[in-house]
Formats: sequence, C-alpha cells, structure tokens
Amino acid sequence: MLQLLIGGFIAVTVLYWLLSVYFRSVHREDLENRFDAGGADGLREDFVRQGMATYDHSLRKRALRLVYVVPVVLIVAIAYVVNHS
Amino acid sequence: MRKVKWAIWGFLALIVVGLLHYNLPQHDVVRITGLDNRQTTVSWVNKYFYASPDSGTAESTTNRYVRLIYTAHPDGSTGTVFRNEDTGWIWPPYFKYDSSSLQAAAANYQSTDAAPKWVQITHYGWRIPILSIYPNAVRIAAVSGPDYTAFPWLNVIILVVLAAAALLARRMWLQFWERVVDPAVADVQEARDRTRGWFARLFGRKP
Repeated sequence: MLQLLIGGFIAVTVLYWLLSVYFRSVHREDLENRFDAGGADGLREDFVRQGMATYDHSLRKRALRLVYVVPVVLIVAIAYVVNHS
Repeated sequence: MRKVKWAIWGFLALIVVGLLHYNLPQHDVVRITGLDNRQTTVSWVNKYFYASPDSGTAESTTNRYVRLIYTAHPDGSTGTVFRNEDTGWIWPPYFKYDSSSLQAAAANYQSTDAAPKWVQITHYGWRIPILSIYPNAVRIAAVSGPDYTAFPWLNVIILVVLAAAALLARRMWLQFWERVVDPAVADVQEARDRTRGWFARLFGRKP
C-alpha cells in the first residue's frame, strides 16, 4: 500500500512533468507558426512570450492536474467493483 | 540485418501481447465443482505468477495456502482450476482484497451435474500445469445458463486507451526530437563549421 502510494506519486509526478513539457512545446510551436503566418505586429519573441504567459494561466494548463486525480479515481473504482459488488 | 530487426520487433510484440493476455480480465462460464485450500510451495520458477508475499492472503515467500476453485465446462469436460488470492496493491492492478468473500461466494455456487448452477468467473492469468500456476479468479457472478456470453467492453476500452497512450508517447518523443535534439545537433554542426573555418584561416587553407 505504502509502495503504491509512494511509487505511484513518483510515477504520476514524472508523467505530469513529461506531459507539461510536451504540451508547452506544442503550444510554443503553434505560436511560432501563427506568428510566421503573418498578421501579428511586434517582435516574434514578444508574441511567443506573451502567448506562453497566457497559456500558463489557461484552463488547459490547469486541466493537466487531472493526471494526479484520474489514477486515484480509477484505483478506488476498480477496488470497489472488484471487492464490493 | 533486416531479419534481425524484424526478429527483435516480433519478439517485443510477442512480449506485449503476452503481458496483455495474462493481465487483462477474461470471462469463463463454468460450474463450480469443488473448493480446496492447498499447501503450495512457491519457487523461483513460478513466484511471479503468485501474489506477492506482502499481499493479504500470502504471508510467506515459499510456502503458503492457496485457495483453489475447481470447475467444469458446460460440455461436461474438466474446466480450469482457478486460484483465489489477493493481488496486493501493485501488479496486476486489480486491488483485490476480498478473496475470503470470493471463496464464500464460490462455495455458495458449488453445484452438481444434476442441478447445475452456472457462473461466470472473471479472472486473469494462465493455467500451466507444469509450472503449477493457476489463473486468479477476481469475480464470480451467476448467469442465466451455460450459453451465456458477454462482449468484453472493458477490454476494448483498455486496449483503446493503451493504444492512445502509445501514440501520445510516440508524438512526445518526435516532438522532443524535433524541438530539442535537432536544433542541438544543428548548433553543434554550425559550431564545428565555424571552428573549421577559423582553423582553415589560421593555417592558410581555404575552407
């Protein structure tokens, strides 16, 4: 049980970190492409930095915390179905 | 070389399919004919197919009592022998801790050939007699008759989720390669070209 809690927490944290790096990277690439497509004023760097700042406070970024929630819900659900029904 | 590559891929695919087949839930419609609680030696050969020692029903690494469920198939032939052990909390992730209750349910459903009670046993694992390993029963439920079948929705969902996860992992890897490794390689090459140019100028050769 303790093994599951500690090991699971470490695994989920690594997963959270990997996913957050990935989604940030995808978003940054998207911003760069959008700037390169034209239509935006100012410097490319400023455009990207501003876009990333907005992203860091966005709902999508915060939704990534579900990575911590979903496994707990799953484990409780599986344990319930297997043992109490 | 290509043959070696395909052999390695085939081997990996076999391992993945084997792991899935061992760990995913399967359903058998059977009649329970008997129960047993058998003193069993778990050796290095088959220990990975038994519950880990720190889970509820198993306290010793080598010798333990293992609850067994004997069954018969609808056609009258001898069915699989199931074991009934707690899984513990790590692997496989069934989080089963009610094996005593499950044994009670199995005892309740025990029936004779003359007055059969058909049940569906949800289980994972394999029965391999030479290794003395048994599939682990997870749930027992009464069903309408010996011809009862159910579509394995859960397995379909699990496989789709796993495939999606594999796809995501691949895309993450490609993104990492595209955004981190390739630019770094390009930087190194550029730096090398620059150094080469500098050396060439230094020693009076044309780059």
